[in-house]
Amino acid sequence: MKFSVNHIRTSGRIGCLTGIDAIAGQTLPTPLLTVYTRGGNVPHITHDVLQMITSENLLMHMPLTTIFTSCTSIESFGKGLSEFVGLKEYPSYVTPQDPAVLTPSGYNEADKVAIWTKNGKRIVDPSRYMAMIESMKPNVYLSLCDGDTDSNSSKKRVSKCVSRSSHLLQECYRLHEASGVLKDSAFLAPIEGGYDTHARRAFLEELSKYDVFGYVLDGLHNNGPEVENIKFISVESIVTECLTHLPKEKLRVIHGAWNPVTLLQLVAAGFDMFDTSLPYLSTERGSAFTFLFNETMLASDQTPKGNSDGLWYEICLEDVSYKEVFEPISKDCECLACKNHTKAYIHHLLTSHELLGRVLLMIHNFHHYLEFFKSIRRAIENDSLDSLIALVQSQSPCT
Amino acid sequence: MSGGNPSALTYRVLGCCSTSKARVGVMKLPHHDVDTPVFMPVGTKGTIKGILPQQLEELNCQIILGNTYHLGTKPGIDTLKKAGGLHKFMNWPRALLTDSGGFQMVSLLELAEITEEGVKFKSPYDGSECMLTPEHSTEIQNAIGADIMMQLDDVVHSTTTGPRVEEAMERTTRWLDRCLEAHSRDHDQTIFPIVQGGLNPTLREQSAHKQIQRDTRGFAIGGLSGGESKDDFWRMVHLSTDILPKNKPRYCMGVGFAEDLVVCCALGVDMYDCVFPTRTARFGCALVDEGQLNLKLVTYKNDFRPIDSECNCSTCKRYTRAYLHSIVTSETVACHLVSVHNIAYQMRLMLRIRTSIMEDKYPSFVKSFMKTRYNDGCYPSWVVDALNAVGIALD
Repeated sequence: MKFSVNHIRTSGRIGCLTGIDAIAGQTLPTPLLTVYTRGGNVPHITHDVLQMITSENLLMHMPLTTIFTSCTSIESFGKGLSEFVGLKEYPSYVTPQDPAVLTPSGYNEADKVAIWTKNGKRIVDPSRYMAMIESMKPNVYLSLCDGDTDSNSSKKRVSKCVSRSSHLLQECYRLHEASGVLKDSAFLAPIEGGYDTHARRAFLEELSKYDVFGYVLDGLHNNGPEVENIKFISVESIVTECLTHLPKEKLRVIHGAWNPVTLLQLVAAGFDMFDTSLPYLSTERGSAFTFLFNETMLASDQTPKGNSDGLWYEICLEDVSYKEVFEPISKDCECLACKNHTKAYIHHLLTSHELLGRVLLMIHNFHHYLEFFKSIRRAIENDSLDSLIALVQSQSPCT
Repeated sequence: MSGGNPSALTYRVLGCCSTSKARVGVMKLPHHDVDTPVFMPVGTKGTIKGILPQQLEELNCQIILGNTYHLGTKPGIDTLKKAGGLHKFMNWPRALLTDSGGFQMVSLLELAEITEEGVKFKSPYDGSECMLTPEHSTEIQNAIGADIMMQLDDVVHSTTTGPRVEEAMERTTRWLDRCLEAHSRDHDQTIFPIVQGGLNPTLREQSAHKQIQRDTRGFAIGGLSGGESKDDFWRMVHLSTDILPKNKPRYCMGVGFAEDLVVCCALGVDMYDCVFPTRTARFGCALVDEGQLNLKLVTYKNDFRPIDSECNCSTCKRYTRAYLHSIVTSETVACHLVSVHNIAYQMRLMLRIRTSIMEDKYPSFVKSFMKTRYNDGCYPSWVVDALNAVGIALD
């Protein structure tokens, strides 16, 4: 796999991933939205429904926490993760932790990391991790690491994460280099150090020893819905510190369910890869995205934004006010849910605890986010990301 | 009165088995032409377990079922009226059938009491006393707008005996007349009368004879699949189809196990419904000719075959038993995938039945099907007896 940066703008950068096994001859444009999966499937979405949502090439993000319990099956299957989960046309990307679920804090030990599976906690060391990675043969993966820090972490906690992660990285890197099976898999290194600039700088120093495919800025949060509340300003200095010290030609990844404004600011700062944990979380709470990200949407839009819970980028269709609204979530939306179904029907499904409700929400939210990322790439291409940020920011109440 | 209008339902027999009573037909309904014998998946609340209408069309479902009691409670009749009926509300372009709501009331609500006027029950929501009359059931079903609706019948538990059975049978006919009288959309909706009479052959025959005096476009056999012995079950179906007119479709309510479908088709039944295929999917059970696979079992952990290599559904073409096993208890996708397969299984079974009837090879299809299903050769006696009654002898 190859990563190349095509344009660096005042805000954001455009690039692409090429030479990916599963999609020979085709490219994945960056900033790229990797697709959050659970147990190897897009939540609520079967392969045939995925084909109704998009024909784009997609990189499937498979958190180890959600596939851990099938590792022995994947190993005896022998053909790798993507094919095991029935998505062999899609390249896969494995990380140890799950961006959509809060990672319980304080369970990592010695040179091992706690992985919270559906059957409870499992403790994983680098050799076990790399053995699993070898059987999964992902196209991209992140080294085992300890990112158990957030803005409240103590100095002691930060220094523990840094020393543990550098050891884990050293071991995983060594095993990666020695592995024949993984010679075509792209290896990503974490950047740890919480909100401590000095710790970050020290870790970056350490990273210069390794020739890796790219970097994941880790340790800013413990995943889950809390990430939605993080404002860019509170991560800005760490982000800037890290990005300035990274080689420009390497892939930069950041995970988490950032709200659309923070996400855009991270794009502007120069990240290349994100995930769809936000569309998933929104779906799980019965909500549909309604934020606007281009002038056409703005011109034709009349619907009031946001819901009573104060999340400005979505409406909660469980709310009784949608009981008899026989209109799509968004009139201009081209997704299967909006083309075929009304808010009233989705409200009925959600309040009747029918599975199809979440299927339709996930279709809409996923489609909305894919389109959002197309707009983002177009804006960077035209060097107009700042006006896109202003447009999205104007819909947020905290501006 | 019903009967005259050709647009609401026309049924034509296309081919018959020369041995048994099995037949193939086409039932033209306002929203779709339905090939019979047909299995109708149940979409209780205006949806079938996480499956999109587009997927149901892909699966070749021509008619699905909605439950009047559930829909009348939620989203409610006012909302359905405003939406323009259930077809529009759920965006299902093909045919629909609704039940009367009576069966659910009697089975779900402990406090239901049946009087000549209707079914009296306490609302599970606010405890107030409500009454579902034949007129009310008809009105709700007219608002839902399904192609086929069912009369409100007086349902007694299938193992009930004594004068109550006769009373229910007689009342069912009186209620039929009230339903037909109240029916306001005879031009595009058809009411099916229901043959009752419990497990008493004389009462069943009487009921069938009474019901066919009403000139309706199709008939149902009700009050079965409620825990009675299979031996009683098939006899009641057999004698009902002997009386029901040959030029009208016959619907046996609540039947959906594969062996039951194969037997009842031989007895001359054209339509079936059952929650079983989709309900069992939710618990990780996949249907195959041999019976079912419980994908939760650790046996499937390293089984990299599809559920059924003969099946060409989207699940079997792509997913292995091992993968389904890995997500069966944790991901809704597992439920969707198994539901798709199970519906595909039912659809393919009905297609195989129709094809073999058209080729006049139904008896040999039945024999080979039963051989696969009971591979130890121990056929249940009711299957043997029922098939014998229509001239099919299992080896």
